[in-house]
Amino acid sequence: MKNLFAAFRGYLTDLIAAWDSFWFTPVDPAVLSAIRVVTGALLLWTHLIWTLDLGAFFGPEGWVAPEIAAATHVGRMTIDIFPWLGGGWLLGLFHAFSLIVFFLLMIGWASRVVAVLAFVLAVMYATHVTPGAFFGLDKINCLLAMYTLLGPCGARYSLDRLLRRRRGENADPPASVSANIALRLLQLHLCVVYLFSGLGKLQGVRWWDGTATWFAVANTEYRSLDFTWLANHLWLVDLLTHATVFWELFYCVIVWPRLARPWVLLTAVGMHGFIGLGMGMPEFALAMLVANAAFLSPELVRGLLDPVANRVAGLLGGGGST
Amino acid sequence: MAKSRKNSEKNTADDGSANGPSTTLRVAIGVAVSWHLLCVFISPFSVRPSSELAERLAQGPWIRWYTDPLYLNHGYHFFGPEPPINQLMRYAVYDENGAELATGEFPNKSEQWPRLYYHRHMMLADQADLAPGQSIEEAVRLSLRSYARHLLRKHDGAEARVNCVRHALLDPQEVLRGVDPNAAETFLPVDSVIERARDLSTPLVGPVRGQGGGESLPFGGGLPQGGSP
Repeated sequence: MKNLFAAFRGYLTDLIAAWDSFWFTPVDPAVLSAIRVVTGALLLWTHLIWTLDLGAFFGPEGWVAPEIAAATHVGRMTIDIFPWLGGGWLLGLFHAFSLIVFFLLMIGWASRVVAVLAFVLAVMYATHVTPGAFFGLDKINCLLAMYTLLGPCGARYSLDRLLRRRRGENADPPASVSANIALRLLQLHLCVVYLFSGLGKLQGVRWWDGTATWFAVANTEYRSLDFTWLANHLWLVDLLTHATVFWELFYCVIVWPRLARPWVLLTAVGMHGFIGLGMGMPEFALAMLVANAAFLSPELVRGLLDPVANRVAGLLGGGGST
Repeated sequence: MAKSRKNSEKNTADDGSANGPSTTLRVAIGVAVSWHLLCVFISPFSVRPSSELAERLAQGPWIRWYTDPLYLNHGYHFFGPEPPINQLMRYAVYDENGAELATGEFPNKSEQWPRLYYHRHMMLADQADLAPGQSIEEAVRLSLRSYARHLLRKHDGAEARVNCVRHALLDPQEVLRGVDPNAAETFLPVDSVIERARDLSTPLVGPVRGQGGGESLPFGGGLPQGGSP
């Protein structure tokens, strides 16, 4: 009995140590900073597109009548700000402010404050068009913005960093517990995304009989590259369909082992590359790949981005901004 | 990569202490992240079809006070349960004398550009069935009327007609036979409406009271249900 108690206590000690290590190990904020740059760019582009017909999607005389929007929002514990803005100059001013915030997030000026603002604004826009004109891009944009604000997202690759260096603060940004927490949450959230994407497909006949990939590429509204040559290679259609379901279902398991991770992430590049280029959703594909970047090591990210950042900083007279 | 991640660890943390957050703060953070992850998981778990337990948990106020404002109350059933079959909206706007003021359709790659702008219009057409209504048919009709009213106001017309069609997909054998994927017969009529400017002051729906649950999956044309990414 005493041995059993000791074994249980040992297990608990190990469990607490593993939990502690998982969440509270400080990491270089390079990965989170890189994610901030692309998240800012994605948010800027996503909302710049709304500018093309802002009133039609967010104004009181838009595609979705205010009374329909109000009815679909009944019971939601959130506030839709757009009915209050109307369709005139106030809406335009709000939109211009939002675009500036997303731009500042991308370049990393007052990064922590701007990250909070960017998340709140992104959620406001997404909430208004749900339902109406939302899709996966809005979900992943908001997800990325939410986790970006949790850590020192402007520690690297930012105007903040450049300004610090100009003030003579040349020390490397410290390793960060909050950067680790932000990345861990992003990693786990992404696992949930893929798990339910896979589980959702299990309800459909086409994902079982192997034809789903065909009916995705045969859809002329979606496709941006013609993959109908696959009609001559239906075994490949079956393979891609089954591989997609299995990969999504088991992503939450196989992405964690060190040896499997590069292959899992390379598969993500292939799958989302196909969706981005072949199905006409490059922004959505990029957003998913940025979320996958949470699994990259800081060394890899720094190896890729530091030379670019140094060159940009040199052009701006900062002498290096990594 | 896990090894290289550990290599990047430093002994000092950004909270200024040598050992990171205090035990109390670690416990508080542990509770917070556990709660957050529960919410992240349970929201897509409650997308229908779901158990009564999952739905009551995820769509109750004790979860939604958190998931609704953070835009977490939705699913991730990208291209599920079946790949989507798209709807298109074709419209025409007329003046008081019956002369045509505008015609068009959405989504339309040549009319809506860049691609993301086109995609928003594709979602607008696809999500016509997500308007409030007792049935999908009623929801689609309500959306078509709403689109028609927007077009009336935009073009200052007297009458607007909106036709909704569903674009059937070709199977591999049809493609190999050379069937045109955009042939007229592949566009199947769903519904059509006529709205008049004189009715614009009448609301399309009255005040609605309801639960306002989580995300519904868009109806996917000829298939039982199809989700857009």
